[in-house]
Amino acid sequence: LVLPATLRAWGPVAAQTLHVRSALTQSGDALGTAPAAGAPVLPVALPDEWSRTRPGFDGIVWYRVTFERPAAPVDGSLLSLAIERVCSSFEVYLNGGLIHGGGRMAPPLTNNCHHPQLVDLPTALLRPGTNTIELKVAGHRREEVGSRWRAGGLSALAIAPHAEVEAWHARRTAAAVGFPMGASATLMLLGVFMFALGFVLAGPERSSLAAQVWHAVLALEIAVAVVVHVRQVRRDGERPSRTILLLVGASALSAALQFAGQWTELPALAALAAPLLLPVALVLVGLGLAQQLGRALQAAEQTRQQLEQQIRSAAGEIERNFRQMVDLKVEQVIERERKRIAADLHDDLGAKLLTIVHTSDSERISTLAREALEEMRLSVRGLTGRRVGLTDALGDWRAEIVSRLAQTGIEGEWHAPDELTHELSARTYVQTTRILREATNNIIKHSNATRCTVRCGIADGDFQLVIEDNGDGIAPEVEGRLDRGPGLASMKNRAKQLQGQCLVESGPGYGTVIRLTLPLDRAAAPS
Amino acid sequence: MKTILLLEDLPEIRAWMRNLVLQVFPGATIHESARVQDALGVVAAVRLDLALVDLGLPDGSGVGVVARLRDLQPEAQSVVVTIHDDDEHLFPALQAGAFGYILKEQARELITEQLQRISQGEPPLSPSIARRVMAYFTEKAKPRANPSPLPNVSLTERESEVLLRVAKGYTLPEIGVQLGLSRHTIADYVKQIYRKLNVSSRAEAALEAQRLGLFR
Repeated sequence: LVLPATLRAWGPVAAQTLHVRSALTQSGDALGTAPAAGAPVLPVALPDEWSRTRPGFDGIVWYRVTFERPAAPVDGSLLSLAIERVCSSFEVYLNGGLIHGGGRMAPPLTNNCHHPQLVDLPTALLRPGTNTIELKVAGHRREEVGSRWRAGGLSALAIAPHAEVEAWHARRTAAAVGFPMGASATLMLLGVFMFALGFVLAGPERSSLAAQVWHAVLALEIAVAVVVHVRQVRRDGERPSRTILLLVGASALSAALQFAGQWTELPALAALAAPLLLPVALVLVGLGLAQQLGRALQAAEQTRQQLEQQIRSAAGEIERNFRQMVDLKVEQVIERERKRIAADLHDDLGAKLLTIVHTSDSERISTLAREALEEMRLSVRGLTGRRVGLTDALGDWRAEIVSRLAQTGIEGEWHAPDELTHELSARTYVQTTRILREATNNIIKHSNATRCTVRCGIADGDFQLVIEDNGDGIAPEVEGRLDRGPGLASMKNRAKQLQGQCLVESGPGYGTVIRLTLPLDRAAAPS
Repeated sequence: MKTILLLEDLPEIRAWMRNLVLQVFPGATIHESARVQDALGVVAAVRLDLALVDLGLPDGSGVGVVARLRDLQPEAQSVVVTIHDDDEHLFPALQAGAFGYILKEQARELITEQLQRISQGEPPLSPSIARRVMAYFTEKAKPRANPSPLPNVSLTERESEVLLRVAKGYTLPEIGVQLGLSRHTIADYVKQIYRKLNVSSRAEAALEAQRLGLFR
């Protein structure tokens, strides 16, 4: 079934040109002169690009166009069909008869893609009224030819008198086909001409000279570059690195060898070595750089470790300092507290005791109060006092004991080693002072002695004090009398409190020997 | 005929001391004060021969009075009479110019004897005080980073020997025997030592005050 197509006229004033913008299509095979019977008829718009409208289609498409022959035929004028582009190959049928063939319709197709077509319509075949033009177009699909410009398609058609269309056709042909062909031809001619010229002029011998000249120029450039570089480095004040020197030397040697090889006969080794020198030098340089990198990495690692070490030791020091500070602070606080206690004791208790000493009528009460004051002072000393060096302690004791004995007419002798480095805690010092005072009191009050010898020494880590007098000795019944005060028992007790011992050997007629032993390490430890 | 200042805040003790002083120095004129302020007034107004100064007073320490007396009346003697027997309290007093010290609670006879001895020019020196004085002068003898414009007061060798023996506990007669000196000479040494201590301490204090004054 054939349906008439619609025609769109394009201004009858424009010289009777009919522009065809749509057509009916049918499929067909390569050899047929008519579309395949029973194939579907589809309207399309022109221009028709197969890559758009039927992508992937490869083969024959029949286009049918009907038109009215112009009412007023101009005599002598031929109607022509102008096709701007048809790809790839085509045949034109007018009213069923073949009037134009564009080439092979079976692969390989003739390539008309870039050529504008002009097909004359024989007047004899034109009927008055409706005429039918059928275009059988054979084309490739885009994927096969690679470009849209070479894929199948049909552009818009124009039917117009030959004279008008011809000029248009000539112009299009010139632009699409003529000019590129001309340019290519010109280029090719030019190239051939050049090659021939060069060949004729230079000749084979000349090429060697040209190569040598070029080599010389290159070597000169490199030499200049090296000299400039070295001068620059020298100016900066550094020595040019060994790498650069090695490279320069290798390339210079290599160049010299190669140059010499051109003119003279080199020993085989030198001839072999010449081209290898530079690569070998570069390899050495590379190895050197790798070694440098390795060393640098090592150095960095070392530095990092050193830094870590330093940080650790600094952190340790900070910790130590902090601990020291804390200890000092604690000491300070303790010291302050003790001083406060001591001051309070002195002010209140001491003042009262003092008043008793000097305002009491009873000698005994005064003495008691005085002794109480002494005791208070000692206790405060034990609380607040710092450690006492053994030599200093011995000095204090000596001064007190010898002068007290001298006051009562007793001759005192004191033997003690000179330089002792031990230290006593405040409590030990105070307790020993009490023991010694008690002993001295006893000697002064009860012994009737005329001489007293005190010997001090260190033995087996113990501090020993021996007090010997030539008095009456201690009678057993003297102990225990109430107004004697604590007496010997208290001496022994105090010594025991200091982890030591106090032995008393006495007898009527023998005098008295008091042996006081105190362990020094424990005595030196803070209580 | 002596003029004596008595600085003590406990009234009973003051009365007792007055009694004692009159026993040692019969007919002396006694000015009594119970507070530092009063005592300072007396020091400024009255020409004194002797001052017996307590350390623990309600409105301050007697050390200030000792210093003032040394400033205004260098010939007067100050004796510190106190409960404290430790060098923490006594050393500053000696630095300020005290001539000696007496412990308050001792028996009357003892105190009398000590007072007499002091007034005769024999100041007491205990081992702990001696150690403190030695430490002080040792510290001063060290080469300083920035030498000060102070008079370089240092002990003579004899004085150092005396101090050393006192620190060891020897009595003055024993030291006299050991060094072949009379008791009186040794007492002179002790006086010298105290004087030097005072001079050096005062110079230091003055320098410190000057420096502070500059910065004010």
